[in-house]
Amino acid sequence: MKGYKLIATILSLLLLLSVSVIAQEEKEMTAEEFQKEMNRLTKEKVELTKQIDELKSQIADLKAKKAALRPVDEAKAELLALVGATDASMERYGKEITDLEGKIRRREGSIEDAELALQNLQNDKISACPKYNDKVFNQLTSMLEAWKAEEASKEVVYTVVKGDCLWKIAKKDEFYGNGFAWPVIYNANRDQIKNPDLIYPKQQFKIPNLTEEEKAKYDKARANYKPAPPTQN
Amino acid sequence: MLKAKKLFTSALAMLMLISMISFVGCSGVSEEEMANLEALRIEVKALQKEVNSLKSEKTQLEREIAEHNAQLEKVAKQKAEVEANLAKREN
Repeated sequence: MKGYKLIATILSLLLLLSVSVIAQEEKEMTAEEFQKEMNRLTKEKVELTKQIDELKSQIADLKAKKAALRPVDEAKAELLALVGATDASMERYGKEITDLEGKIRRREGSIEDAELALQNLQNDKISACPKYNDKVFNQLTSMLEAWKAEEASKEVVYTVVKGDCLWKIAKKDEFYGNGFAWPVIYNANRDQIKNPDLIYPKQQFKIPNLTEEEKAKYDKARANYKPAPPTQN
Repeated sequence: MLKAKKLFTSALAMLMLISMISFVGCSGVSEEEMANLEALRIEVKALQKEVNSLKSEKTQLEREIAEHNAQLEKVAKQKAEVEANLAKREN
């Protein structure tokens, strides 16, 4: 009987001990660890709260700054007003530039028409816009100059007919309109002309365009020409 | 003698029981405290989330302002060029 009581007491103690150990394991934390964690979290909470207040204040400042900014559309409208344009006219102007550029590239129409169109574009105030200024005053002008130079360098071929001489050919209105310019034809066809006084029907001569310098030179020669007085027999 | 021995055994058992209970009670963390800790953890987590959200809002605003200013600067530059070109035409 005594033995049973002792065994029962020991078992009770073991049970109590095991319950307390299980309870400890469930909590997984000592009081010290708990306090440390509480302190850390409390500190973090304070810091985060402070950070939130600062961020809210900064955001409020930024929102005020943003609201005070000048609208971009207003600035753009002012820019357009400077050249007396609207979005639609700017677009139309851009299209006109593209069209003219295409015509010059394709060598479409006459140079004179292209020159006139370019002149109109240049006269428009919209041409002062950086988007178009270089295009209108430099690029298109250069392209047009190149076209003109190309046209100027084109040689016309003339077939000699009976009674022609270099002077007569040079004097023709469709060529130089000035007989004094005959050496240009001679020099361009030296392979065919041995003697400038002797040319033959069906010969084909290249008639190059006169340069500005040549034109001035031969115009001057014509202006200074004084026919020799008639000889007295 | 036997009675005294029995009394001693019972007293010893009681002592052990009391010391065990007091040990458990003093060294551990109560459920209420654990609940507080958990609540604090949740609160800190929520605050951290709010901080992140505010930071991204701030970054977004800064970016928008910078873009706006860049556009205004571009238009101002264009305006200056237009004025210079118009002046050139007049001369």
